[in-house]
Amino acid sequence: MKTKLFLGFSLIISSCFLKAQCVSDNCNSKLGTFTYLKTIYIDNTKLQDKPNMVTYLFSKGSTYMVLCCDQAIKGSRLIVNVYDKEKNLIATNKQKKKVYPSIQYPCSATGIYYIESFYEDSKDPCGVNILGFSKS
Amino acid sequence: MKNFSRLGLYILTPLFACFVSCGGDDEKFIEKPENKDTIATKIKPDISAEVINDIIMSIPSPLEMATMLKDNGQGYDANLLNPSTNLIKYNTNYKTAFNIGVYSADLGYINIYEKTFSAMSYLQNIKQLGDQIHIGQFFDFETLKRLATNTKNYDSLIFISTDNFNKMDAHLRTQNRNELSVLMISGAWLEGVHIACQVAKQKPNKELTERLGFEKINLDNILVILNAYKSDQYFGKIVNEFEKLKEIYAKITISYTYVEPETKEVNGQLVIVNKSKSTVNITDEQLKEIIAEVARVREIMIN
Repeated sequence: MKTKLFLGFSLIISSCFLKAQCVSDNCNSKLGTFTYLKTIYIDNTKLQDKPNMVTYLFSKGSTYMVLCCDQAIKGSRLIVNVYDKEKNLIATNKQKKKVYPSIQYPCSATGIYYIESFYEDSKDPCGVNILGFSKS
Repeated sequence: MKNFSRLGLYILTPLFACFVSCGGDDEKFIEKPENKDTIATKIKPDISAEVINDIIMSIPSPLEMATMLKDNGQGYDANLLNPSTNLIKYNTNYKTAFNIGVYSADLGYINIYEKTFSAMSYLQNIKQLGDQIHIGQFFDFETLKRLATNTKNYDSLIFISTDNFNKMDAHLRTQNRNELSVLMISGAWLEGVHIACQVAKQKPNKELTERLGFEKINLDNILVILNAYKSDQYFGKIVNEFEKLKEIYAKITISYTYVEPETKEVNGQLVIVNKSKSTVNITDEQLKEIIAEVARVREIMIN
C-alpha cells in the first residue's frame, strides 16, 4: 500500500516537472523574417508585482520583435511592457482587453530600453520571450 | 532484499522522473570540472552579479551591425576578420574567453554574408576555445558543421550559432564565472565595432557614422563591467586600453527626445508607431580617431 502511495506521489512530482517544460525556445520559428537575438527566460514567480526586467540597446533603423511564447491560456499569458531609458512606456502587448502574442517596434531612437515581462495571473504560468530584429 | 528493492524504487522513481522531465539540450552534456588555472583566476567583482548580468544582457549582438553593413550594400571582406590561425595564441583562460567573443562576432559576419568556406574554420576555432574553458559542450559543432555545408540552411545556422553563444555565456554566469562572460561579451563587441570601423574607413556613410557614434552607450556599459574586475592585471590592462577609446567618445554627444508613441494592428500583429528621436553629434575627425583607436586596441587584444 505504502509503495503504491509513494509511486502515486512520484508520478505527481514527475508531472510537475513535465509541466515545467510546457514551452521551450523552439517557438523561435514564429519570428518569421526576424533574426533571432536572445531568449528571455521568465520563471513562474514573475507576476505584476515582481516582474522580470532586462535591458537591451535598440538601434534606430532596426525593427525589433518581442515574441511571447506562453501557453496562450487566459490567466497564464505573458504581458510585456517596453520602456525607454526615461522609463516612459513605449509599448505593451496588452491593449484594452486583448493580449497580443508579440510586439513589433520599429526603433526611431537609439538607446537603452527596458523589457518588463510578467504573467497576468498565477494560473500555471510558464513561458519565455524571444527577441528578434530586422532592418526597417 | 525486498526492503532494499523497495528503497531502490523509492529513490530511483523520482530520480527517473526528474531525468525524463529535465532532459533539455543543456543537460545532455556532462559538466567538466574546472581546472586549477580557472579556479586560481577567480576574482571578486566590485559590483553585484545582478548588475553584471543586466549589462551583459543589454549589449547588442554583433549580428545587428553585420546585417546593417550587408543591407547597406557593403561587400564581404575576409581581411577584416581575426585570422583563424591566431588560435594558437590564446593559451590562457582570459585570452580564450575574449577571443571566443571575437571569433563569434566574425562568425556572425560570415554567416550574414553566407560564406560557407570561411565558416568552417571559425566554427572549429570557437569549439576548440570553448573546450579550453569547459563550455565547448554548449557549442553544437556537428550540427553547425552540417548546416554550414548546406547553403540553404543559413537561417538555422545563424539561429543555432547565436543560441549556442548565449548558452555558453549563460552557463559561465550560472557557474559564477562571470569574469569570463564579461570578456566574451567585450570581445564580441570590439570585433563587431572593428569590422564596422574598417568599412566606414573604406566607404563612409551617414548611417554607419551615426551607428558608430551611438556605440558610446555600449562602451560605457562594457567599461562598467570590465572595471568591476580591474584589480586583476589582465582586466586592468583592458580597462586601460578601453579608457583611451572612451576619452575620444567623451567628446561625442547623444540627445534624446521622447514623443508619445501610437499603436496599430497590421495583419493581426501589434506594431508600435514610434516618434521619439535620438541624435548623435560626431564629426569626421572624431570618426577617424575612433577607427584608429579601435584598430589599435583590437590589435593588442587578438595578439
